[in-house]
Amino acid sequence: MSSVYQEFDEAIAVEAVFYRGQIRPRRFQWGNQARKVARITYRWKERKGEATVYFFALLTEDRTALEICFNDKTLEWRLVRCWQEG
Amino acid sequence: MLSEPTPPKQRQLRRPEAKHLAVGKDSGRGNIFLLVDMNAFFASIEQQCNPFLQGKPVLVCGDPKMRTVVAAASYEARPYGVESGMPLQRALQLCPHAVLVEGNPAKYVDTAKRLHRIFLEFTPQMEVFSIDEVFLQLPPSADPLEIAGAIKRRIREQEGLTCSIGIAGNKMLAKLAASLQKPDGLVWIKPEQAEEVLKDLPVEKMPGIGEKTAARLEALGVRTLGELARCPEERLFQVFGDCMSQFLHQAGVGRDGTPISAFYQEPIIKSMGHNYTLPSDTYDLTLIKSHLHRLSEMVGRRIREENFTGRTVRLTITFGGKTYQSLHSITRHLTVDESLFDGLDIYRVALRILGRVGLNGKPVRMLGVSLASLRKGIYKPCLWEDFEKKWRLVAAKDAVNNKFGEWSLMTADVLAVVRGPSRRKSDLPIRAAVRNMKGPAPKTLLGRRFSPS
Repeated sequence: MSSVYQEFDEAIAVEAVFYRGQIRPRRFQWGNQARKVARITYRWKERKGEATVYFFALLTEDRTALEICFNDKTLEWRLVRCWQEG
Repeated sequence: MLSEPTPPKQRQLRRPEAKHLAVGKDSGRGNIFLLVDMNAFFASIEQQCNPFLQGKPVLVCGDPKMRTVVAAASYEARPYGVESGMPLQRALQLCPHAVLVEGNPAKYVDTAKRLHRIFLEFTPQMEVFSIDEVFLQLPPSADPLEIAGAIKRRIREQEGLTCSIGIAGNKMLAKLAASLQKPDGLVWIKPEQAEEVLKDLPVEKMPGIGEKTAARLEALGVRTLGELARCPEERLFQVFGDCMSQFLHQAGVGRDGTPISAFYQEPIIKSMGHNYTLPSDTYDLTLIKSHLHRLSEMVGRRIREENFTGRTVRLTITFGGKTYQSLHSITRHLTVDESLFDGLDIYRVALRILGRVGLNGKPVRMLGVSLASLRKGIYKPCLWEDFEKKWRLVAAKDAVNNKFGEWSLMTADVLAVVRGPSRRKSDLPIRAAVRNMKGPAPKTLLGRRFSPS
């Protein structure tokens, strides 16, 4: 098999809308590249100690599937993993 | 004063109100049971997360670099013979082009909780049977087809997932009905249809009858549920004993009187434990002890969260072998006088058991530690000062782990075998995650009332 998820743990800058209890990432900067979110394909949350970490599976406009997360204690966005189509 | 020990008992919590319950004419039926079975749950969630996985054979597993099994296979992988529980290497032989995705239990548990909120809109009588199966009980006046259809639509619209729903007059038949049409099925076995539906079905189709029981039934000339229904109960008793023969006799006619164990009722807990299959069979005693300590700490943490102590430590060891059939497991236990709640004390008892059992030069594949003889609350021990010091130490450790995440604080020997706190991978095994879903939310140890007399 050649298609895999590549794991990351990188801080990223994200533009998101917080409205009516929902978080909606719109755009983010990964390295030197700005990417626009075309669709949030899935969302879930996990507890890490006192923090709640909100996870988002995204499809960007340039057809990249990846997962990012937001830690509500550190207020940090991070890139989790990216799909590499083989 | 320390809290007085009380035996575990069922406790009623607040029942939520159902919003969508359809009420129709009383048909004269008894209660109606639904079994909602999510289709290829983990794999379907991963395919929802990543559109590039849709239409492909997907295997959700543990770390593919270590020994692991298939936790879930998408429907595209199943025609190749891949099944849940199959060793990954075997699955890849059957389906070499499968896409492997390392599972994330926290993701699936969070999804399951959202699904439960949907189910509770229809009825408060919900039993979480497993992470992807839920029993629902409806009153006789409800329209089960309308409710099942509404549930399927809600799940599809909200989560993009499908489920198979079985409807029947009891839980056993509801579960059987759900298994008859997958994926995205809806099957209702009405009481007057049960005999006709069951008569030609193989016995292993009935929940609770596995391969070994089916083989023993075949030796009696019983292959179908119809034949099982006609088999005299005395004959079953001679082969299977009292309890099993009664169950088989009832299963043959599709009779089951077990009630819903509603989610808001605390189950009676008899023991708590954790198992772990090592990445490879090992003779390394240091490594084995480190894993034993880690498992003991996990048991201690859960025991304290539920405000239990226990006196019987049970150790299970599965020894490795060249083939699956040559695996050999032993379980030994030791009951002590003191009430155990600290992982280190549980580990020390487990080590005593290990010392008595010995490995006898055989490699270890799996370890399990559990604590039984449970009591609610804490017994006041004789050596009060030692107990107080230990209690405070354990409370402090729990407080650190509650604040910063599991395994933020651990002993050096456990550090060697624990993955560090991870943003994505959950350290919570799936079965433990399901148990946490069923019970009340974890409590911090510092929230306990504690004051020396």
